[in-house]
Formats: sequence, structure tokens, C-alpha cells
Amino acid sequence: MRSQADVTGANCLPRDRESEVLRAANIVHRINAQLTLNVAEFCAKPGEFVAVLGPNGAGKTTLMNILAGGLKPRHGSVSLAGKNLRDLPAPELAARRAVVRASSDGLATGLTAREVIELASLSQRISPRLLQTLTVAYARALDLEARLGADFTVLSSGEKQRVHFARALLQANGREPGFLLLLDEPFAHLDAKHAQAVTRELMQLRENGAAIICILHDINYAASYADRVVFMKRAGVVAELPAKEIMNRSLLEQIYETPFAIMRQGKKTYAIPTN
Amino acid sequence: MFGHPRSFKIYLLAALAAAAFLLALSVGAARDFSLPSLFGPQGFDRDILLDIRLPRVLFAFFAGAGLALTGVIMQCLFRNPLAEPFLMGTSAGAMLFAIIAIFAAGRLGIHFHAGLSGLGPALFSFIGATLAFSVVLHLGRSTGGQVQFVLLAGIAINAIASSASGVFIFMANDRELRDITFWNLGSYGAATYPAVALAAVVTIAAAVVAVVMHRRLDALLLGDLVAFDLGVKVKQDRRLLFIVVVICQGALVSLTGMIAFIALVAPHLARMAVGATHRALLPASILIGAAISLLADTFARKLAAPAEIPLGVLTGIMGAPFFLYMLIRHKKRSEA
Repeated sequence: MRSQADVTGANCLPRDRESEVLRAANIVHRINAQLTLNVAEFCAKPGEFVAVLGPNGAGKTTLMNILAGGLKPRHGSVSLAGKNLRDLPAPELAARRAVVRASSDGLATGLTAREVIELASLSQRISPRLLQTLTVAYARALDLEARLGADFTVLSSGEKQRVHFARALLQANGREPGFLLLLDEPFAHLDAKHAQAVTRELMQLRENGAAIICILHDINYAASYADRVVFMKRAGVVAELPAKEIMNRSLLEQIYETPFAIMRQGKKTYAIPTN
Repeated sequence: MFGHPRSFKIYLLAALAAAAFLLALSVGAARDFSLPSLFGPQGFDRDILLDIRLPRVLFAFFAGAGLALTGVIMQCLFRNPLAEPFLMGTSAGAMLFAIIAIFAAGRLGIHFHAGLSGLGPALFSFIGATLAFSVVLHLGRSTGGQVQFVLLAGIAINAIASSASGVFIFMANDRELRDITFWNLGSYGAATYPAVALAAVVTIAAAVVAVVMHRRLDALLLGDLVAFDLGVKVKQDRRLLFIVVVICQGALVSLTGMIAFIALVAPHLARMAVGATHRALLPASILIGAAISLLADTFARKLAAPAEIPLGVLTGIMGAPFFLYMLIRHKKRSEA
């Protein structure tokens, strides 16, 4: 069920495989009665920011769950640093990748924001003192310092999202080269200022050699910050391009089934949905 | 950790539990002791204290601590502050099997020495509790494992076991009826040193497992997926925790009958006092559970002395309004 749209896969060349952080091959997984996820190839290299874009219901989150190891695909394999996910028990996985999910129902937790962030150390050997220092540092970077003592359940959606992001950063701390960060719409609830704070941290991680796979809806963000964009639609990958090349009206209109205008402002290009 | 306000609160709770322990030891049907006379009693006093009062008080301590502990774990596994071990069918299963034991013993002419004080029916009801719990868990899992289905399965198994118990009660003679009623109301009357040893072993074992896993319990509060992301072997750990709960709770219920609400109330009070992180919540719940259990049993023994008010009735009277209060508060919170 590969789409007719061209899959370039320019960054998944075989000679690169040894240095890859993540490789998924021939993934087939039933999402529901109508949809079966079908991804022939998906990869990410150290220091690479891969954005996953596509309309609602395209199977992005399902793919993310499979890449994170929480969902076992019906067929196909995922490997992290050359090791099959099936052979990596949860604690080892947690030492190689962190996940920030779109909706983490902190139902009746009652834990404080600080306690949630500190849970990142479940997969780390870290002294309580260093843990405390790092927690405060990441909280400060994400403007959460004043909320550390608050009950996680009473935080706003944006604050919750930043708490989980801080937790993921702590999980990645000291392991950046080859570490994988999986993010499902990390900016969904964030205002401009806090989105910038998260972006700064992401760029820092990328510079330190971590691979980032990020589900996004903001085409302009993906074009500015990602290295490569994977477009998904109807449970499959329909296009895979360097981020610079996604400002293509016909491509976007084909994927999102709505008219777009491409605008230039100085050196930057923006895609705006129009009517 | 030392000097943290939370540690101070836990020391305070430990002092409270110790005070409840001494109070329970000094107050009783036969006579009350002054605090100094508890240490180094002579003659008849010594017999009362060491043979009757001490095993009962020790039992109350461990039973309360163990019930509270199973409550904490259940509330975590279901991520629901209203989850209570009894909702899992354990009590009804235990009751049915205890009744069958009482019934069969009567018909076969077997005498468990001194009625229910022997461990014979306890063994039976332990099997019943474990069986009911396993069935509920299995049914819950085969319907998708969602909390509400597990709880509904619990209600169904409770209903089945209660109806079956009803059949036996209908057929029972007066003596059996009294034994059954007594069992049903819950009491620490079965407290002998062997029973104390059993309660201590299951409670301490469960506490050790829970304390070792305290950070993983915290992670499970965030949901199975996030816990997995954080490095928790979710399936394996959940299974282990369920086994711990069923053994601890099954053993305690089979020795005490229905002691309502301690498993629900103690963790809640503990959460209010020290917060939700299990490093603090586990010791605080254990201490509060033990204190409630000791105080309630002291009332049960003293209020109508020399008769004894069934403990389950007392904890029910005190616990049910609290449960309703929490239900209302929980609803308000989820609307907010």
C-alpha cells in the first residue's frame, strides 16, 4: 500500500545504518477496522531532527507508540542503536530514549511537579543531590521553578506538558550522543514564549548528538527547525523530504486537502492555509 | 531526608501509632493498667497482658497496617483513590468459603477448637479470597483491563458469592448462624500468637516488596504507558503487586472477617498528611492504618465491656461517612 507520492528516503542510505539511532523496517499494524499502519522504513540519525507531519488520523501517534516500544507491531521490527526493541527490557529502553506524549492523563496522581520530573532518574544512577540540582535547572529553563511544589493534577495543560518535557530532558541528561527523544505534539498547549524555551532545549539536545522525532502540525515550525520531514497520511508515509523542500504548494495541498498560499518574507518562506 | 518536614510528620505518626499501641494494651475488659504497670506485670495481670491483651494488640497492629498497605497498592494500581481491596471480591469470596468451612465442619462433626479461633476456616476463607480476587482480575483483563470493568467484575463476583453465602445461611442451624454472623461482622477475636505471626509475616513481606518498589509505584501513578517510558517493567511489576495484595489481604481477611474501610481511609489520611509519593505514603499509611485499627479495637473491647462490639461494625460506622465525603469531594474535584 505504498503511495504513489515519491518517497525519497534521502537520509536513509544503507551506508549510514551503523550510525543510526533508530531504524524501523516493514512495520505493519492494524489501527482499527478501516486502517492498517504500513511503514516500510523509518530512521533517525544522531543529531537529526525528524518532524512527522500529516492530517489527523494519519497514524502518527500509533507509529510513535511503536517506535517508543510501548506498542508491539503485528509485523516488522524496530531497532534502537542496532538492538531490536524486543530484546531491550523497559529499564534499558528508558536509558536510550525518552518520550513526551500528547496527553498524559495524570488522573489521580497527587504527585508534585518536582516528583514527576525526578521520576526520570528511575533509569539512572544519580545522587539525590545532583538530581535535585538538575531538576531545578531544567525547571528553570522551562519556567517551571515556581511550580515545582504544586500538585501535578492542578497544573494547566501547558505546565503539565512542560513538566513532562523537563522529565524527558532529565532522562536524556548525560546520554545525549545517540539518545532518542520522541515527542508527540510538544507545542500543543504552549504559548509562544514557552514554545521558544522548549525549542532552545531541543536545539541544544540536537547539537549534543541526540536524535529527535517529533509529531507536529505546524508546517512553518517544521520548515524552520527540522532537518527532515516525514509526511504521513492514511496510515502510511506519503513523502519524505529535507525540511527546506516542504514549502511546496501542490505537495501540501495534496496532503492536507486544503488550499495553501506560500509566502516569502525576507529569507524565510511560510505556508498559510487559505480559503 | 532527615529534617525534611515530611520526615517529621512520619515520626509524628510513628509516635501516634506507638501511643495507640500502649493505650490498646492498657485498656481492656478485664481491667485497665497504668502505663508503668505495663512493664513488668506480676501474677494474674501478667497472664492477662501476655496471653490475652498482647497478642490481640499485636494482631490489631499488623492487621491495620497490612490492610492500609493493600489499600495504597490497590489505589495505585487502579489509579483511583476510591479503589479498595474489598471491591475485588476478596471479602465475599472469603466469607463464602468460611461459611462453607463452618457448615461442613458442623455436618462432619469436626470441631475447630474454640469455634472460629482455630485457623481451619481461615485457611478455607484464604482460598476463597484468593479465588475471588483472581476471577475478578481475570474477568477484568478479558474485558480490556480497564478499571471500571475490573470494578464491575468485582461487584458481580461479590453478588454471586453473597448469594451463595445466603443459601448456606438459609440452611444453617443456630450455632452455625452465630458463627457466620460473627465472622461476617469482623473481629480480632481470633488473635492468638500463631495468628499474630501469620499477620506479621504477610504484612511485613508486603511492606518490604512495596518499599523496594516505591519509585516504580510512583511511576505507575502516571499511567502504564508513561511508567513504561520511564523504564518500569509494567506487566511484570503489576502482576507482582497484585499477588502481594491478594496474599496479604486474603490472609488478613480470612483471620479477621470484614473489617471495612481501613484500607480506604488510612491511605487517604496519609496522603493528606504527607502527599502521594510512595516513599512517604507507604510508611504513613502503615502507621495510620495500625493506629486506626488499634483505637477502633480498643473501643470495640471497652465500650460495651464485658461484651464486645464487632470491630467491623465500628469501622463501618466511622468509615462509611468518610467514604461518602471523599466521593463528594472527588466529584467536585473532577468537575473543577
